[in-house]
Amino acid sequence: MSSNDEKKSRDEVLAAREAKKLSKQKAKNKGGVEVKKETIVDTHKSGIEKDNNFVNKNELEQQKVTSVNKCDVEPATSKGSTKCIDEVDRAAIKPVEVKLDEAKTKDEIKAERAAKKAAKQAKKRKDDKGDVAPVAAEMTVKDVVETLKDIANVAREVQNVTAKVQAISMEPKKVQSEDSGQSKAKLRAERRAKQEAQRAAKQATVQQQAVPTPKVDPKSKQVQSPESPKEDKIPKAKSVEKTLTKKSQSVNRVNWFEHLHMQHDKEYLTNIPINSNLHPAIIKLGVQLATRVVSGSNARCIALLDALKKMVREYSLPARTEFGRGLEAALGASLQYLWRLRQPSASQENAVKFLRHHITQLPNNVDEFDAKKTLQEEIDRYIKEQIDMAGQAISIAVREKISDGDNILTYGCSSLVERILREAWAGGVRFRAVVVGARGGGGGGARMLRRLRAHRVPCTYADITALSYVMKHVNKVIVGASALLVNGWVVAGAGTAQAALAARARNVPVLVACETHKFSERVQTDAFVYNEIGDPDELIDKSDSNSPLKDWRSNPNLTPLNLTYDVTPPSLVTAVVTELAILPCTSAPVVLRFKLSEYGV
Amino acid sequence: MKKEEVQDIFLKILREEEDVSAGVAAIKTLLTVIENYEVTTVRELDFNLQLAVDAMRNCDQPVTAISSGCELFMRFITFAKLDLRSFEECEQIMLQRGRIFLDTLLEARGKVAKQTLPFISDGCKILTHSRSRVVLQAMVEAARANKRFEVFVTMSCPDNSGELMHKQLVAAGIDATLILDSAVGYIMEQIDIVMVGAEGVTESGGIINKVGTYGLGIAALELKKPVYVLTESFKFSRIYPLNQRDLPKEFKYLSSVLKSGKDLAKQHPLVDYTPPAYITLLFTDLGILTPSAVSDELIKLYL
Amino acid sequence: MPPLGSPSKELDLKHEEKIVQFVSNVRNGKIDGSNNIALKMLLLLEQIISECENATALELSGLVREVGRRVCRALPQELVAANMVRRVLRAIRDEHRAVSDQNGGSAEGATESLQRLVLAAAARRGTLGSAQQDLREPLRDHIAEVRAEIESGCGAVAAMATAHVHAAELILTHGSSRLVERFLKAARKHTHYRLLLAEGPDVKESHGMALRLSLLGIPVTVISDASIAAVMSRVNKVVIGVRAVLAGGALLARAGTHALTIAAKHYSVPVIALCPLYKLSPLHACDHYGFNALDNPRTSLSYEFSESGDVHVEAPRYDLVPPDHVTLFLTNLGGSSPSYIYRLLSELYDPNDHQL
Repeated sequence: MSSNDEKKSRDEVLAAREAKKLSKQKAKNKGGVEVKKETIVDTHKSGIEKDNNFVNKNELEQQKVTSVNKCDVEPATSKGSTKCIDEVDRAAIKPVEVKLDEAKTKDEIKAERAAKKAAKQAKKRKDDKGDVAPVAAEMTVKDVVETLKDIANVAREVQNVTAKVQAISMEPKKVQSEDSGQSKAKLRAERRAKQEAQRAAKQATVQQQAVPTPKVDPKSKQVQSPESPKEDKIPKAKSVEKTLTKKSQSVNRVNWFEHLHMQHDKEYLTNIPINSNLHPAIIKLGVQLATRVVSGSNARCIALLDALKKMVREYSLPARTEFGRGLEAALGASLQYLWRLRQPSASQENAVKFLRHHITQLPNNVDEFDAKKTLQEEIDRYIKEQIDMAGQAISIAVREKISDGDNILTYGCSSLVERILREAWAGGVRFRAVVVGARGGGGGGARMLRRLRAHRVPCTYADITALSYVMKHVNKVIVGASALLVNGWVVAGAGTAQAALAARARNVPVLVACETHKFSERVQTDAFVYNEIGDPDELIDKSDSNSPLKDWRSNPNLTPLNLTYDVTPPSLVTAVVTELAILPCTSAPVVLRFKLSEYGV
Repeated sequence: MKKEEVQDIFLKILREEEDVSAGVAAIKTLLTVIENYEVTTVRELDFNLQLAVDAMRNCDQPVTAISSGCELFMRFITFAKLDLRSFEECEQIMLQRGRIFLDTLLEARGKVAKQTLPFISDGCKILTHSRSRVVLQAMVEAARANKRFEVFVTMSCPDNSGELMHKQLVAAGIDATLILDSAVGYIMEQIDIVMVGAEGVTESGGIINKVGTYGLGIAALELKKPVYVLTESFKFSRIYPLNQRDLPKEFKYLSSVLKSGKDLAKQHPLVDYTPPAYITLLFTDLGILTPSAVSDELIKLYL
Repeated sequence: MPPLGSPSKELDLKHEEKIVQFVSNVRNGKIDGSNNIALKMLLLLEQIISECENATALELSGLVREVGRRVCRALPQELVAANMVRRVLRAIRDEHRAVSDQNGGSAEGATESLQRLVLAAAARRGTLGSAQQDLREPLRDHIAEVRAEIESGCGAVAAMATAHVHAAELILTHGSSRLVERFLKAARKHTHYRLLLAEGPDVKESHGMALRLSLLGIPVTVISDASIAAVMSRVNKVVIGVRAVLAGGALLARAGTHALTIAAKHYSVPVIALCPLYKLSPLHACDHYGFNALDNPRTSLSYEFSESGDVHVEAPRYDLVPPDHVTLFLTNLGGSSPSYIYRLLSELYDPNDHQL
């Protein structure tokens, strides 16, 4: 009871503030939706008892039920809002078929917490203006009721729009390479529409909809993860993870790879929960990563840093938040979204570590503009030093190992190896490149061939089945890497271990070109514990319309498996060329320690 | 019959016929013994032959080939004893078969060389160890067949017999290089095949050859180069060494050294044993054999 | 008759026609698979023998040898055809020996051996000139035996599947092979196991084989050749089909097999090679390029790729696998290690016939 009283006064104060704001902005008619949302949330939240600490779900549900059904024990404003809740509840429930009480409650909790904290702050700030409250409260209630009705209508309309949009996206999947640009734009448009819908839904209070289901339900709405940076995201994240793995399992029948990250097909992409707070560059990057438009560890790292730079530049700091913390939280949200779409590579992880380190290094009361400038400069410097100049240094180091008349074998596609070979050729060394690729996704050999030929490097091409045949005449093998692990194992595209084995069988030295920013703290000894599964359809011969595998999904016993990475043990690698030095593979931990000290970790 | 006489005959044969290996010379000596020394009973003949073999073992020549050749000859003689008519007839049969045996052995080298021919491809680099007449003949025939190849010969201390091999190769018009024994590991990565002779082939399928062959085999296995052993079939013997120390002392050290009573642990061995795991193929006049087939042959003979 | 020295014979016109017909059928793909090639070759030899006028051992062996030489020159990769010729020659020798034994001739061992060296019978070179009998009838019996052996060989090998596949195993196989498919089907009847199929160079055939096996209830996972080294640590056994087995235990198999066996050796996974006896060839692997042919480069890099015009594309058809990479050979007579192959060869062929 007492708490209710407290809340009463707080509510009144709150309501007064909000009413003021509302009237102002209504007059201006600008971003009305946003403000209304906050208003509604506040009034609603304040009507429900709860602790500041972790709340029992059931308790809450009870409370909600009581508040909805009995409509008692509420202060005047809250009563109004409770009634409003009722109305809105009913209004919002109609078009929706699926309701998950759990989720609703969780979302409610979060929204409540946010509102509560905001309320606290508001109270602290404007403690002295309590007298205006009652009048404002009156106004607020009426306004609120009206706006709520409007919003309910808007919500319904948006619902229909979303359904239509999703119906469009239900078209048959096309080959992603052909349609990547198109689908990206389409997806972005869809996402925008969904964001709008979500905002509307949130204003209509807390009738959040279902978590993305494995089967596409045309009527299902998107879940909005109502995050303010300080929220506790664990329960929400868990539910999403669960459905993620469920989906992977249903498509991936190779049970030893259950734990691995599965490349999502188009359907899943349309159902990803997104936060309206995410910067569009991040969203775009997420789609690009998921559809493998951006691939290759250097490219992914640069793309990530680019997007983060944009995000930093356009980051708007909420009031009374320290820049560092605010940015860190926004960063966390963005990264969570990205990693859900595609696992981070070691280069991306290190880049993020670097950025976080610099964020923490910002002085306490730094000016926002200065901070942003510093961070952007740091990012630029990172890209320039760690990727560009490192590549240059490696290229020079390797050039001494290539002599005239050599046959250099390379496997798969690596921007660094391409740079090495291109610059060696331009520098006058007359060698021959033997490019080995594999059919299906794992190869990339064909891409490498194209790039090298564009620079007039003489090439021979062979499929991976011809590896031992061509190895007879090869002098050296140079490959790129995705990551170098602490125990000395090299993570690279699937098939690299095969090339290293064949080279060892003929005593051909194997060089791995790897910048230090790809050194990772992980350890693994086989290709199973940590890997990615690519699109299984890539194994199927596209040119053949009668491929025996085309109906593999209907056959429970048949699964194509397309692994993305494999690991090569250090015994098969002669040397690792980094920008610091040419090292034996086993010296990776030394370099890593050196690097980590740079980050102050 | 005296030991010294036998030794004289033996050494004379070795001196006069450069081309003949110690084993063949030993067999010739034994034939001479049968011809020249008059005996009346088989037992006496046996005794004579034993004495002769003993004598030859003690004249500071490599014992491995001598012992395997003589053993085979003795076995051969045993078979002849089965037709027991009169001793003279027996002797005649023995002599006749002995000569056939010898003729066959003399042709052996030619057969081995012929079989090696397809394995020497144009432009290949061959590594060989010390001096082996069989290997020399194989290479000369390959050169005659207009194949172009390069040979690396190890000097093989202490008697530097590799130098003689090198001289003979160059005389035959083959591109040959003399290398240090210690440079074997260095040169191995450039080599295509390794070809060595053998003084003896053991029951396990391994070979006994001039010291240094074992190290060569290890380096070749590590760098995945095939090792081909060229040998005549009479060098197969029944010994089964388990390791280097298990080799009979008479093989490893000269008889004079053994007799002088010096501390053998401080002496340099003359031969070493290369286990069958390091050998890819054996080229013999019986055909191209894998090391496991050697035992098969020996079993067929003795059991 | 020493084979290397004999002059090339003139063959009858109709014989030549038959040979040409056979060769073109093989080249056009009308006769496909080593089993069929072996059977057709035997048929060809049988026909030629029955039409031969003078049916003495000498005549017949000369004729057969000449036919063999023509076929081998035309189809150097078809080692099975040469094997059939050698089998027939051996049969002729055996028959001749049996006949001359009956007539009181001395027994001659077929192979050189230390024993024969020591026993030193009269002339060791097999002369086929003495007997003048018509050997056609007994020869036909021999050939029928060989044919029966070929036909039952595959079945015999497949029947051994039950002894080599145990429950819940993960078996890796490479590319498509009729014999391996039969083997796996037979194993399925006996126990449940899982199969990993590496595509290999014939993508369509391997996918077809995967489909057929999956319909039998075997869980099949199809992987690209690039993932072989990645999955090898989980595999229990590798089963491969071969094109031919060479002397010393080396293998001739489809491209990509050598890389597979290198990975298997690295992870100490046993490699089982299925080879019915007609695939055993007494030739040595000294000349890798003699047995290999280049395939259509389109399989590696499609013509649609713009760079394929000025890039040299290599696509070998076969791979040579050295004997130390194979753990076990399964033949009609049971399992044998690679070092024992020489024994099987000595029983099948006469050493004088190694070079036709």
